[in-house]
Formats: sequence, C-alpha cells, structure tokens
Amino acid sequence: MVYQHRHWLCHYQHMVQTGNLGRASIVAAGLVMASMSVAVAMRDPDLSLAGPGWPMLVLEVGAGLLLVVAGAAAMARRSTSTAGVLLACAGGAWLIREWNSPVAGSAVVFTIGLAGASLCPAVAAHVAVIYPNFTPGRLGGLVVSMGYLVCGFLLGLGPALFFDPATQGCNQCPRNLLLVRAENAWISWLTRVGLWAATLWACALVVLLVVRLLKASVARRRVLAPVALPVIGYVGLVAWSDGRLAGGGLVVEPLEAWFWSWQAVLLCLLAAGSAVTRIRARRTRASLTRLALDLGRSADRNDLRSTLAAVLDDPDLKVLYPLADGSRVNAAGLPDAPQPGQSVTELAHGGVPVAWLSHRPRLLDDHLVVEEITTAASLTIDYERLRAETQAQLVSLRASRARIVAASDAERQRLERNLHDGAQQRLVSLALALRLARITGGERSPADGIRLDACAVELASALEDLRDLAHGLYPSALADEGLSAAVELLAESGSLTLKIRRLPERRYPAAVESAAYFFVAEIVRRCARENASVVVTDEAPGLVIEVEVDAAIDRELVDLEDRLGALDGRMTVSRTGNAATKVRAELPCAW
Amino acid sequence: MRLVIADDEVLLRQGLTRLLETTDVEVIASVGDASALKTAVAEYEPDAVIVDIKMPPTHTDEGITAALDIRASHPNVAVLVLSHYLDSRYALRLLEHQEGSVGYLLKERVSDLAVLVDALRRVTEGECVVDPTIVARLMSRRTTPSPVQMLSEREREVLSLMAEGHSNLGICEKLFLSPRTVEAHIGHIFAKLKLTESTDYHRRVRAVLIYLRPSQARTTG
Repeated sequence: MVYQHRHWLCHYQHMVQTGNLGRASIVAAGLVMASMSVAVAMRDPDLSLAGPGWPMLVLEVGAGLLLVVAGAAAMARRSTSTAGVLLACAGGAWLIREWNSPVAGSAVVFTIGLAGASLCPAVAAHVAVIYPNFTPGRLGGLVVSMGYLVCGFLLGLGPALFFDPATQGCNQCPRNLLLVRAENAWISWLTRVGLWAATLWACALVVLLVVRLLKASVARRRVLAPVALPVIGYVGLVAWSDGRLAGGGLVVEPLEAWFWSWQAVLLCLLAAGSAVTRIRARRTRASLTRLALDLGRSADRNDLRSTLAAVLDDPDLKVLYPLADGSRVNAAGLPDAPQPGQSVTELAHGGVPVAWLSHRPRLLDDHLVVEEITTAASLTIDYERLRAETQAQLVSLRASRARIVAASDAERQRLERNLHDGAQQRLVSLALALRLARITGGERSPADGIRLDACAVELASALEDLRDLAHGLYPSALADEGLSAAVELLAESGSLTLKIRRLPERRYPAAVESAAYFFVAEIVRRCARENASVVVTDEAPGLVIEVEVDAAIDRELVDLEDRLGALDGRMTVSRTGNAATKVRAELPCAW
Repeated sequence: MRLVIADDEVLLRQGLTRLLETTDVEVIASVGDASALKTAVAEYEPDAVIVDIKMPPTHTDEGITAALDIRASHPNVAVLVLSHYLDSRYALRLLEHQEGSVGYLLKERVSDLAVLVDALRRVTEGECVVDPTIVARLMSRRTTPSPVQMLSEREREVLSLMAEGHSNLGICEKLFLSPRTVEAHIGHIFAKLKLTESTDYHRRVRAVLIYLRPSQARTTG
C-alpha cells in the first residue's frame, strides 16, 4: 500500500510538472516573447541585432522559437523534462537579447533585456551538461554555476545595476528599473572582467563536453552528441567573440553579424538535436511495440526474461525484482544476483525501482530503450514482481517449516544421546551398586536382601523402558547408516510382520531420511499386531514410500502429512481391500 | 581368568571390578578408552576384555572397532562388548568378522553376575554369545525369505538358544528335552541350512551366523 501511495503521488506530481497545460503555456510565453522581439526589432531595424532585412530576423526569432518548442516537446518525456524546461529557457534567453534596445518601448522590457542579455550561453551550457537526465557531478555543477555567475551576473545583472541610460548618452532609452547608482567605471570594469571570465568559462565547458563525449560508449554518444555538439559550437563561438573583445578587439559590425548569425544557426541545430532524440524515441518505441505484443500474446505471461533476451539479443539477460526487505529475487521468487561483469539497469516507476535488468555491458546505455521497456512491459513487470514477492514468501515459509522439522529431529537425536549417555549409564551404575549391596549386606539381613532384589527387578524394567524410549525417539541407525538400515530394524521391534521390499541403499539428505523413516514407523506403530509391507522406490522426482497394512487406519494422519509437507512431499491414503489400507508418500529429494 | 575392563564411566568400572572380586575373575586393569585398552591388552595379554561400545572420542562405535582390532592382533584374547543399543546391527557387525570368542551383551546385564561370568567363560572357550533380547529381536525379524524360514518352530527355538551361546546340554535343560532329541534337532537344522561338510563345531557357528545374519545383511564399516 505504501508503495502504491508513493507511486501515485509521484505520478500526480509528474502530471502537474509536465502536463499539457504547462507545455502549452510555455509555448505561448515563447510566442509572446518572440513577437515582442520582432516588435522591438521592427521599430528600428538598424538598431536590432538582426540588422535590416527580414531573413535575418526570421533566423533570429526562429532559433528562439524552435528552442522553446523543442523544450516543450522534451518536457513531455519524463527523462528529459528538466532538460526540456532549460531548453525552453535558453530559447527565451536568446529572444530577450533583442530587448535592451533604445526602442524597447517599455521600461520593463528594456530592463529585462539589460539584465539577461548574456544569459543564453549559460542556460544552453546547463542543458548540455545535464542532458538527457544527468545529475551533474561536482565538476559539472561547478561549470554550470560558473556559467550563471559569469553570463548572468558579470555580463548581465551586474552592469545593469549601474547602467543609467541617460548618463550613457541614450536619451530615448526607457528607464532602467534595476538602476542602483550610475557608475560607468564599474560597468566597464565588470564587463572587462566578465568577458575574460566568459572566455575562460566557455573553454572549460567545451573541454568538459568534449571529454565526456569521447569517454562515452557508442550508444551513449549517440544520445549525447545531437545536443552536446551544437552547444560546443555555440559556446565556442561565444568564447571566440568574447575573447576577441576582452583582448581589446573593436566591435566590427560585419564580424559581429557573422558571429551572431552562426550562433543562431547552432541554436537551431540544438533544437533539432533534441528533436532527433524524440524521433529516435519513436523508432525505438515502434521496435519495442513488438515486445509489448509478444508479452501480451504469450499465454503464460511470466516470461519477461526470455522475451527481453530475444528482443535485446542477450541470452544471459536476467530480470531481478526488489523485495520489501531490500533483497533481489528472480521471477520464481528465488534470491538472485547479477552475474559478475554484467551491467545492471534499473527500471523505475515514478522514481521507485520496480525491477533490475542484468545484461551485457553497455547494452542499455541508451535511456530511451530503458524507458520503452519500462513502458511496454510495465504490466508484466508489475505482475511478475508481485508474483515473485508471493513466491519468495512461499519459499521462505517452506524453508521455515523445514527448519522447524529439522530442529525437532535434531532435538530428538539429542534426547536420544542424552538418555543413552546420561540416564542409562547412571541406572546401570546404580544396578551395579545395588548388586554389590546385595552381596555384601544381603547375608546380614535376609529381609533387606529381598527388598534389594525387588529394587533390582524394578531397575531392570526401568532400564528396559528407557532403552525402548531412546530407540523410539531417534534410532541411531537412521543417523549412522540411513533409511534402509533403520526401516529394517523396525522389523525387529516385535509384534508385527513387516515385509520390506526394494529399499534403496543409498543415503539421502537427513531431512528426507527422517521424514521417510518416521512416516513408516508411525504407520507401523498405529497398526501394531497387523501385517505390514513397505516398498520404497527411488524414482526420478524423489523417493516414493508405500506402506500397506492389513488394517483400516481410522485415525487422522494429519501430523504425518505436515511432516512430509515441510519437505514439499505429498501423502495419499487409499483403501485397497476389505480391511487393508495403502498409504503412499512422495518426497522430492532435490533438497 | 584374567580380565581387562574398558569403559569411560569410572563408577561402572569400579563397581564391576568390586563385583568381580567375589568370583574367580581377576580384573588386572581397567581403562577409559580404546587406545588405553589396546595398550593394556598388549601389556597384560589377558584372557578376556570387557569393552563398552561407546567410548571417547566420538562416543559412537569405538568399542566395536577396538574389539575387532584386538581379535585381529591378539587371537587368544576373547572380547565381550557391552552396549546400550537395542540395534542388532552392532552385534551383527561383530559377528560378520568373528566366528567365535566374541560376545555382545546389553549393558544392564553387568548387574547379573551369573550371566556376566557365564558369558565371559563361554567367550574364552571360543563360543560366541549374543544377548537374548537381541536374539529375540532378530527372531521376530521377518523381513526377507531366508533358509531359517524353513525351520520348524522347535528347530528355531533350538537355533536361537545356540545363538545365545548355549551348549547342547544347556539347550536340553532349557527346553526340557533329552540330549538325543536336541542332537536330532541340530542335525535337521544343519541339513536344512545345507551345512554338511564341516566339523561339528564350525557347523554350529555357521548355523548361528546364518540365523543371525539376514540374507541382505549390509557390509558395514
């Protein structure tokens, strides 16, 4: 119940986070921002970054919009939802670059444009570092936060705090709402430091991404490259341009336009790269639909393992399921573990692991395949997991039953030894002492002698009782020599004629031997003074013991059934004649 | 008669020693385990040893093993094994390997001095002695068809007394029969068990063994 509760909670959160409504509003916000950028640029094309001419404007606004749409699409997938949000943000950050124009028209738009003018590379870098659903390591986290510090503060918010349009000679500019104090010197200092820092940061990021791409496996690289390569290109261009300016280069209009248009192209490629991933996801889904169909078609739906092994072409693939106590079992509920050298991939449902696949290394590096497996096989996984849980409980219950019986056998054996070694020894010594007393003291007092003789007789019968008791508890022959020796000794115990046929001589596990022995002994005991025959055969699945007695067994044999059941054995009772009963026990020996 | 006692129970050793002081049996040594027993046998060359089946270190069948070892190394030393076990298999194991000069008694017989001394005397004379309780259990064992099944009730009685170690005369007294009748029974037994070629003494022992050893007797040890 707890698990289900969590599961639904996560699912709900997920719907809110990435539901259709959220995606639609993000696309709407993107459209609004794009139209504002167009409006600003159209007001005075000469002042716009796109310059005069609509193809450039279309490229600029198109790059931003494409990023927003690609981001919204990526949000639909659970694994890329965070990356999707960031992708849309990068689009937004690209669009607001146009807003710090003197013709922005509104103070709010102008101020946002001032503060966020250089934010886009930081957000794009963030996308590339976490894509598709990476948790950035310490180095990645540092690079991402440095990006926000450099691009967001040193080159954006920081100068914006001290930028007064009026003192900069821009009289038509709207008011800077963030202005704290007009300090041109601080602005130029911050910008100079920011440009150097941005250059260094961009180089660090490019190195990080290139190293990661080189270290990734082929399948992994196929996922990372469509997003990482455009970002490497884009940030590389930013580094080049910023480095040139930091080194004292002058703003040369055609060069700036060249930088700018290539940045726009690379951002379009970034949006396309994220879409490629979606298209590949579609294709994977199509191929894995076969899996869902296969699983749905198979009459016995318990074979996820072999279906997956066939679909993924990995015969050694294992499916493991979690138990409440943290251990892992296979579909049969038996404890299992990944083979050494195999990779393990977690299949999760709403953040909670529901199964693990153990497979050959790198087979499932592509998260899309993993997601598709989780989706296509989710019913089968749930079914198998629940069944495995039940099976595991059964296995542990059976083991505990077997342990209880084994403990009682051990206790019987211990008692038998104690009686022999303790009580019986003492009584024999006592009998000796009594005999000595009789010899030495008997002559003096005949009456005492008679009493001592009576004691000796009592003692002898006590010893006899004790010996029978010990023998009945656990015949030592059973432990020493096994089933056939012990059953043969039953024939000596007296009143009944026991015919024994076909007793296997070999030894069996102690639990099996004692279950079989006590089964025979108990039936023979209950129908004393009748004829009984015992047939023991060692057949393929285990040991079959048939006891036929010339009597009707009226009493319940539940205790015997329990004893056999503890070893997965079965018992059947059948009337074979007028007053004859056949009791048959089957004991599997695969223990 | 010179005797060595081996039993890990000190009280029993002492009691038995004192009890035997009243007879003509001389206890020349009493030891607590099998290896000490073997040393004592080598040193004193006694006429007989009494050995407890359970002794250190494992407390299972050291006595039987020691008995067989002593019989092999010192054929002149008779061995009487004492046991708490009702199982015939230890007795059979002893008789599998020895055709005479061995005995197997339940431990509580030690308090019956007459039985004990009689058993000691008979094993030193080369006979084999088996406790009546065990013989009775073997007699009631009807597991597999054996030549013994062909014997008449009376013949079986005679045979089981032979197994307990009684002489012809003893059997006569027990069954209130004339020596001639007993001899006739024994002759029938030998014939039915197809024991016609050997000397009288060996035939006796072998008849007893056929009786005691079930046809599907397992080789043990």
